[in-house]
Amino acid sequence: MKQFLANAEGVEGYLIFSMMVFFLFFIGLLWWVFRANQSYINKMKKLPFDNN
Amino acid sequence: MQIEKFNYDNKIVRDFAIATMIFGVVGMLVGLLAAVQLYLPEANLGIQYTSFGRIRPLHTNAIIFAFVGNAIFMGVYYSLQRLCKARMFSDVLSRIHFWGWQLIILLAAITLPLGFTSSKEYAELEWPIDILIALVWVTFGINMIGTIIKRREKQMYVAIWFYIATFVTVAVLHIVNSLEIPVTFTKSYSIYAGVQDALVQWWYGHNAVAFFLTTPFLGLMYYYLPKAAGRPVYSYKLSILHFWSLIFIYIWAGPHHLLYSSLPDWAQSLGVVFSIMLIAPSWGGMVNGLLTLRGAWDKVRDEPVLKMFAVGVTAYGMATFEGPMLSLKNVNAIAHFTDWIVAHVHVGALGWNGLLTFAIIYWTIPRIYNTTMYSKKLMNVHFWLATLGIVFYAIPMYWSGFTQGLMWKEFTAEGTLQYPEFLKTTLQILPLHVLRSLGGTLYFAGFLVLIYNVIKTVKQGSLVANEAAEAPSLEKSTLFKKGEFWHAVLEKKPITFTVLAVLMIVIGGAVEMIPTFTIKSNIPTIASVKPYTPLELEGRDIYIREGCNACHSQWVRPFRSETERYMGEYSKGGEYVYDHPFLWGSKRTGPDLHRLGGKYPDSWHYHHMVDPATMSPGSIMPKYPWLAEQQINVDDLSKKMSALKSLGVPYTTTEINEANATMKQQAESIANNLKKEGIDLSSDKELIAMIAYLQRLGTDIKKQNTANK
Repeated sequence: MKQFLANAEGVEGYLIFSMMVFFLFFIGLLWWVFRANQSYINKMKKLPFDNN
Repeated sequence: MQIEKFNYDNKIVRDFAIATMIFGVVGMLVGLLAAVQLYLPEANLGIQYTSFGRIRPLHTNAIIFAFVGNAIFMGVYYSLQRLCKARMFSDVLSRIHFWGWQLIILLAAITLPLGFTSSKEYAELEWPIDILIALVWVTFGINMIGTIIKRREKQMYVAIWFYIATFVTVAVLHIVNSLEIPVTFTKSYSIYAGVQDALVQWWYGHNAVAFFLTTPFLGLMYYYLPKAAGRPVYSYKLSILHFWSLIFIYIWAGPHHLLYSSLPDWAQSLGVVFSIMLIAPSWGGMVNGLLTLRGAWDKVRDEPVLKMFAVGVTAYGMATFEGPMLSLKNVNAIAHFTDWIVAHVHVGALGWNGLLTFAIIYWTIPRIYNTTMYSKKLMNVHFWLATLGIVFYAIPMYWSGFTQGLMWKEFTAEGTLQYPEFLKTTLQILPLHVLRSLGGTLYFAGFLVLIYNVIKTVKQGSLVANEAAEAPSLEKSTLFKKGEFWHAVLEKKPITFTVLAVLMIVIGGAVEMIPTFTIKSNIPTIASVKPYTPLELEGRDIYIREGCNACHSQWVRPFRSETERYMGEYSKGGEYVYDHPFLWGSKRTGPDLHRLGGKYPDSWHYHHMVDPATMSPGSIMPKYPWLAEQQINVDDLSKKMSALKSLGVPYTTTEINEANATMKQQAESIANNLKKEGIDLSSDKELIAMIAYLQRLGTDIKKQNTANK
């Protein structure tokens, strides 16, 4: 990682920005997913088997 | 709550299934023909329309868009209706979509052998067909979103998210990459040039793999695999996580196709980092698929459909681990341009797309024909033929790839190249190419078994064109409840969902492209680089028509092994500023050509094009005798130059007006050179233009060096 950033020559902002965007996005996603209601999850899992 | 009766449209599913089978045969046969030509060039029968450079795009387009494309639509039309508990939004749109797509395929099958190509990989079709693709794709999108809107099931199952992401992303990719300026009905130039064109192309190329070969199949996996296994998906939470991560990360990874090129370093690094990160969401999908089979392994032993799913999903796991590894710069340095990449994509195409398609056909056909598969034994035979076919295809190609990569870089103790003659490295791998075509034949034989089995099945059943179903109507008031899980809310709002998915994929593309297009220092200009002369421009268009870039790169990487072999400097971004489109290529079946200019006399090129083996004994390059017979088409020359001028190529009005005269002058000078060597070739032949172009390649930078001295 250090080597990649060293190569960036003054535009490392783009790398850091993009990593941060993804990191924040992913943490948010993780947080929400683990708060999911189990009955909803169970319902969704069975959806393809619902009468068809 | 009112129970509504309706019918599922199975006829459209059947139609797409037939198209999948027909174009599977065509695509694989053309692939086989191309594979044989790589050790037996005469297999093109001496016809220009079947030469390697023209049928290679025919093979890739037929497999990706005709075989896999129709398979996607077959699976989507079957599963979407059932997951939404609704018939497709419009039967008319379904038919327009079906026939429109087949028309596109027909046009591709005609135009690609004729040499009408934009040269951009997996996007070769010319502009009128590009417009048709956009229209038919939008028809599909309207039909799909319409169905989702009129659904009777509140929640959108994970498969549908993948379908939505596929639709919107492919639309964005196709439109942005296909922006071109038409010259005639069959010829256009990409609006982007050089490095920028390369970046857009591989942003497209990589994400075509992601959103045409991956996301729709993940969606299909999430529907069909649980159905076939008779148990729900292993983890629904994992599917939420890996869906959003996958579509977010994928779009950034395109530049890993351009490592060690003149693409700015930061963009290459961005591509590498995101490619490595891709392992996680990709494996999320694989793990979810394989673990769905947990506790059902006894079934896997008996059910050929489940066997195909298991091997197909495993192939996906292998390919998506290998992809990030190939994106590491040190691995890429050896693997790029070699058969290793061919092995990699075929593990994905034959394993993941192929086996899943077969499994879906075997699962769907008996259901819509209200019968069972004619022969389970034949399904097992097919499974083994396909699996062994993949093994016998991939192993020789990996071996060949390692051999090429290492031979190209091998130095003697004295510090000179061990194999300075490129041809030696080609001849070394020919036996492996023979083996590869045998592997491909096995796989193809298996597919024929499928077709026989399906025909027998269809004969013993009868199509349930409209399958009756019923479900309670969806009352608007029940749609949203306070305090609901956010994703549950999102799943009820298809339009919001679609917009969010677009947002995810636009961020990555924008961060890569905007700086490359707007910051001048990213592509340093070189004063001595001038636009092509009229004759060179015509030569370049013939180079594009013949698909020379299918086997030759124009991109010398900054390695000693390459600057030594190609006797010149590594390629600079500034050298390509007038290249609409870029012609860097992605495979070196033959040597790189970026420093070819001035290396050999004109007469060498004449003999080499007419019969390559006379100059390079044992060469597997096809003969191009028609170039010495056909006349250069000068009718559109000034139109071509004007089109390029409008894209920023600095041709003056005088240059454009006098183009024909300038061209004639240069052509006669080449014809005279040839005459001195005893070759009688009239100056109006295509070969003259080709020689002019080849002799120009990479010479601008040499002029600069001479001036500096």
